[in-house]
Amino acid sequence: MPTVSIYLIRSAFIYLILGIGIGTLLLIDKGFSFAPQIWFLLPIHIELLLSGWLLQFLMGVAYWMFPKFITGKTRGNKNVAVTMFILYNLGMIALLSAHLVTELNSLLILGRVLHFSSISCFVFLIWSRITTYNR
Amino acid sequence: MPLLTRLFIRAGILFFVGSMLVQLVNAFGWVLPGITPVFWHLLIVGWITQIIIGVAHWMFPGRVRNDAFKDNYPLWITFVFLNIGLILRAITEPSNYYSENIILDILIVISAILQLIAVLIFVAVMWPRARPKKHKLTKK
Repeated sequence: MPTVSIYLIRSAFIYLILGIGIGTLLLIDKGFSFAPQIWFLLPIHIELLLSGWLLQFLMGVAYWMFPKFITGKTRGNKNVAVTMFILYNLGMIALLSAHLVTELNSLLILGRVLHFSSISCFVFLIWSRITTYNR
Repeated sequence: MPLLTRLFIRAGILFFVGSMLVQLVNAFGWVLPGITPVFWHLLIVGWITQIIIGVAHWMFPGRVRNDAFKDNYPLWITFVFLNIGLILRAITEPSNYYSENIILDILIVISAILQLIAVLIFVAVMWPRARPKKHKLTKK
C-alpha cells in the first residue's frame, strides 16, 4: 500500500471515529434527551462521515488498487498525490470549522474550494489508470 | 473471499434492500415518523460501510488466512454488534414516536453503543493493516 493511501485511509479512520462518536451522542439524546443543544453537531456528523470517512477512504483505496503504470512512476506524480491529501484535509478542517461557527460562509466556500482542488488532483492521477493490461 | 467478508457483504446487501424498501413505502405515502434517518443509516452504515469493512478485511495486507472465530474474533464482534445495533435502531427509532415506553429509550442507547464499539474495534483492527505490503507487523 503506498504511503499516500496509508495517510488517506488512516485519516479516514480518524474522521470515522469522530463522526460515529458524535452520532452516538445524538442517538443517545433521542433516547434520553440530556442536551438538546448538541443537535447543532448534526451537519458536522454528516460532513465527517460522508466527506471525511467515505470519500477519503475510497480515494485512498482507488489510488492504491487501480492498475499501475508499467514504467516510470507506477502511480503517477507522488507530489500531486501528497498535495491531494493535504488539500483534502485542509478542506475538512475549514468545513468542520465553518459548521462549528454556525455556517460561516467564507470558511464553507474555502473548504469546498480546497476539496474541489483535491478532487481535481485525484482525477488527474486516476484518469489514465482507468485502463486494462489486456490490449 | 473469506467467510467474514461474505457475511459483511451479504448483510450489507440485505440492508440495501431494506433501505430501498423504506423508500418504496415512503413513495406510497405511508410515511412513518423518524424513518428518514433510519433510511440514511441503513444505506450509509448498513450497506456502504459494511461493504467497505468486508472488502477491507479481504484486501488489506496482513489478513489471517484462517476463517476461525478465535483468529478473527474482533471482526466477528464488529459484525455482530454493528448489525444488532443497526437493526435495533431501525426498529426502536420509529417506534419511539408512538410509545413513551422507557424500554425503547434504553434500546436506542444500547443500539448507539453497540455501533460505536463495532466501529472502534474495526478501526483498531484495520489501523495497523493500513501499511505497505512488505512491512511485517512485529510481535510483542
